[in-house]
Amino acid sequence: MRPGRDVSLTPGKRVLFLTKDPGLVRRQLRGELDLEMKDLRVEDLLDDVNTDAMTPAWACFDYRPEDIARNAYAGVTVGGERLFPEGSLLAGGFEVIVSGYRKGVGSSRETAVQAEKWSGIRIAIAASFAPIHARNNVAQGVLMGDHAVLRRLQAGEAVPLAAFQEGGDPVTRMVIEHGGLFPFTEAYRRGEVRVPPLRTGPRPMTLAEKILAGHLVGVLGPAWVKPGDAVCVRVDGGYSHEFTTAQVHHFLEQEHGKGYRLANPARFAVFEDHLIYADGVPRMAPFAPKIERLREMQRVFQRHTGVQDFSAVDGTSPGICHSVARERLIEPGDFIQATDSHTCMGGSLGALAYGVGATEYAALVHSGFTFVEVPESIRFELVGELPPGVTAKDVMLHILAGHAKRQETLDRVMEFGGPGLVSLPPDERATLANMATECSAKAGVVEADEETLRWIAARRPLVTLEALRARAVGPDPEAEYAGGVHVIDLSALRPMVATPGDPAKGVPSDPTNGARVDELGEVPIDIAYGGSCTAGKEVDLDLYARVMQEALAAGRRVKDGVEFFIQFGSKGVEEYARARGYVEVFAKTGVRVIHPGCGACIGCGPGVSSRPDQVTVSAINRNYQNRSGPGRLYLASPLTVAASAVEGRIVAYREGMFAEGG
Amino acid sequence: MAGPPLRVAVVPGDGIGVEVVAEAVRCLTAVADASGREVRMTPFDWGAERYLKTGVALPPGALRMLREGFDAILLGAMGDPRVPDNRHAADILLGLRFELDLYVNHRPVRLFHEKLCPLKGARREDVDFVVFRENTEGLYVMMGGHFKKGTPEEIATEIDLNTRRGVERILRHAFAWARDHGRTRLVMADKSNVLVHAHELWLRVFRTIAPEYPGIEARHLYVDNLVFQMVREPRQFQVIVTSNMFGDIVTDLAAGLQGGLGMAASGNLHPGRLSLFEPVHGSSPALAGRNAANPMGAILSAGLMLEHLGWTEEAARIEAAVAWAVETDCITADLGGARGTREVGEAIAGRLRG
Repeated sequence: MRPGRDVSLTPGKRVLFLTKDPGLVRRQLRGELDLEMKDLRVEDLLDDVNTDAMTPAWACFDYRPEDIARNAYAGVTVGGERLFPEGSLLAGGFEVIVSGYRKGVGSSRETAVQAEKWSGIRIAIAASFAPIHARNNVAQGVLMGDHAVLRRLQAGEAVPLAAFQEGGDPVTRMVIEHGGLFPFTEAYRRGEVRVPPLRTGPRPMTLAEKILAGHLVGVLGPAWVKPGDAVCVRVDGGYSHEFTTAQVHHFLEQEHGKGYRLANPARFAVFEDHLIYADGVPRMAPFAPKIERLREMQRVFQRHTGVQDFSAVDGTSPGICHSVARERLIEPGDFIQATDSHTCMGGSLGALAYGVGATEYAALVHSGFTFVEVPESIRFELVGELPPGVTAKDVMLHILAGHAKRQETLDRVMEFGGPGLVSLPPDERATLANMATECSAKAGVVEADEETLRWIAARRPLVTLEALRARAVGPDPEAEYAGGVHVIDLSALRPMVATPGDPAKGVPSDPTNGARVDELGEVPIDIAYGGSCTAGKEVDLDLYARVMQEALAAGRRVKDGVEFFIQFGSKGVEEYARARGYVEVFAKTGVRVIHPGCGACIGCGPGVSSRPDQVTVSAINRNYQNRSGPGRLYLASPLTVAASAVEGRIVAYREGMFAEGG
Repeated sequence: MAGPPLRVAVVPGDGIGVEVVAEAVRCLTAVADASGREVRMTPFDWGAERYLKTGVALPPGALRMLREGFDAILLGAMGDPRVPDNRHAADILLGLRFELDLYVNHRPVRLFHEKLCPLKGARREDVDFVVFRENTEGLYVMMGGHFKKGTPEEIATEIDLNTRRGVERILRHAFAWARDHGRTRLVMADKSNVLVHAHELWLRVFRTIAPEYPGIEARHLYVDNLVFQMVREPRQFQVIVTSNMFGDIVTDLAAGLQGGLGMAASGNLHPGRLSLFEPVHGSSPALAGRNAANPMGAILSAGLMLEHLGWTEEAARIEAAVAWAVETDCITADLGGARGTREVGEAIAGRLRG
């Protein structure tokens, strides 16, 4: 619904305050209590209300926002009980919801916003909002304001819409004025709104800026952009997976009718990868019918639109969407959008790629374009060569522990280049781009060189090197990096882990908890896992196999009491590993090999922990608490994971390590 | 600097020509207004209607009047089922072409969005070239005849007329255009392996003059190979020059690459003299009067006209505005869209006004 010029509270509708005192929330939900901001302090309100609390993963197995809304705030529990009983947010008759600082942190899921909106909420009040959550609010037309605005509203004032939009770029303000992304995009297509003309003149640009400048809608010649510019850009391609496609289809039917069509389906795709192993996970069993419905909805969407189909065949997935997109879909210079945070992996091919919510994706897959505020960049200039036993994963764990922890990478595009890049094969570069999202960056982009182009051409019969060369984009020498240019001396790096922290002492399990393996002390493990988009590539399989071959030669195998799982990122990788005899080596050394899929990385497959006291060392990309089971999870490189699986404790790999001690 | 106004003779013609030219006029007005310049457009009602009423296709003195009073002609389409053999169309189109000696058929082929291209995996920048078709000679001079017509022994001949002067001037025009527009590759296509006289002339002249354009890689292809290559890898082409009949065929294939005849613009030129610009599509009587025809070919033809007359910035803005309309799905049914001729024209004109 399009908001009016002024916003005031609706008579009869209520305001819900998420207070730190759960008793007050309970009484408000029951209709026994109504509060006023003038009687409260911001400190009385809950901070860091995260999207997992707003809509836990199981609540997202529903695709209709009205169903998801029934479980709004289901993740908030007091003494094991839901503070928000099913349907209580809707039943309370609220139109405003109020919390403290950093509303909507955590997962990028848009369902968190939908749960509120379809419970009647049209205004969210907080002292600050997490960036992606804020963007999802804008897309859904939910107004955001601070506590001062709320005081004016509750005093009976009609507050001008502009008071809700401070800080946004001009396009975001227009989206808010139109009541959300769908109505705005439609108005734009009808020519009823004009994005302010771009006035940025010639300037040196970063890789991301150059790609966006080359995708401006209605521009054929050279163009320039700078951070903060609001632009309408063509999207070259994208994809969704079975966790998100159902919503995309549902929204498009609602907005454009059952006969809706996509602008350019040939360059978009669906994947079946996220829930492929959900059937075997006991805690997912109650949701089996809903998961099957999500799969069916994706099949319906694919048949209806004609997008490329990467569905499972006979229960086997062609691979993780990001891995297959990198192998088959993305080209240098592309602008790619998909419904998953690790979409940034595509940046390893010299493309700009990042994840978006379901509404934003639905709008752009329908129209072929989207609206973007040009992000700032931060450059990492790689020099030197990695010492033996050190990998790209260690580079990222190093950057996470330093630059990301200091928030230098926040909402910026991480650009990787420099003479050291040559020593990293394309698969290793993919790890750099993949983990940009763990750095809370907008995206990761790696400069494409001849080796990148050869890697792509070798996998695609229709693509010539010459065509790829013509598409490749590099940054200008004088480009400005708001996050600075940081030299990373690869030769100085050592094997790293990210620790599970100590949540009880306020140190959450986080990828930024970097530590050197040689300074870690004795950490016995129960589970080792090698897989996911970040560590299920051909090079990763080479690394696992190198360690296990050495172990085999020394008469060693996976330590008793330890389970070691290796899961391929894609079918192509599986074929690669089979052709090289890796699978036999794994079989002889006691490794359990799993067909492609996201698996344990999203807590949906073999390799998840089942008890809080279990310790896992894993080559995946994030170690958020409970993500891959209730245990403690260390992130490490493929070499460290394999070596640790043999030793039964976290150790770095050294060539010949098994032959020495026996 | 506003400069003198452009004087354009506007000939909508028949069928959908009337509708698409109205949108081209709307866009010309918009782009001129936005840059503070003037395009003075004078309409002429030459076409089937007038021919049926008066029996006159091209009025006497028309050519002289055009030559003296105008910088360019913008034409819609000619053809009407009520006129037998479309006599009026031949009189007007061929009359203008031969009398004005418009020896260059200039066909820009640009893909505005990959969704319009039927080639798998083709990208926008993969289709961006210009075809120069010889426009006054070759097999289209209507020389030849029938012998023993109507009998089982009937013989029919068509003469392929190629003059040294005619071949050289189209080749030189293509080379010069490539040089002046920063292009580095040019292909001349013929069938000199079989047409050993007529096309041997083309190849010989081509080889003779190519060294005079050192910055341009000049390549010779047989026309059958050319069409194969156009489908296989169109990005290799920047400039193609060929004979009248082959150009006729090649440009339709090229139109297929860029989204269909509705997207195709053309100029019939005699450099330095009065020239004529028209969309490639015909009058399409079945579509006429239904607000369904794609006006982009006509609008792009108007843009080509501006470029030819030196209004390069305005021409670039027309192309960009058409690209915007395609990108935002503001397109007619031939491209898979849901907008009418007028809506598309109004949107593009609106974009041009800024």
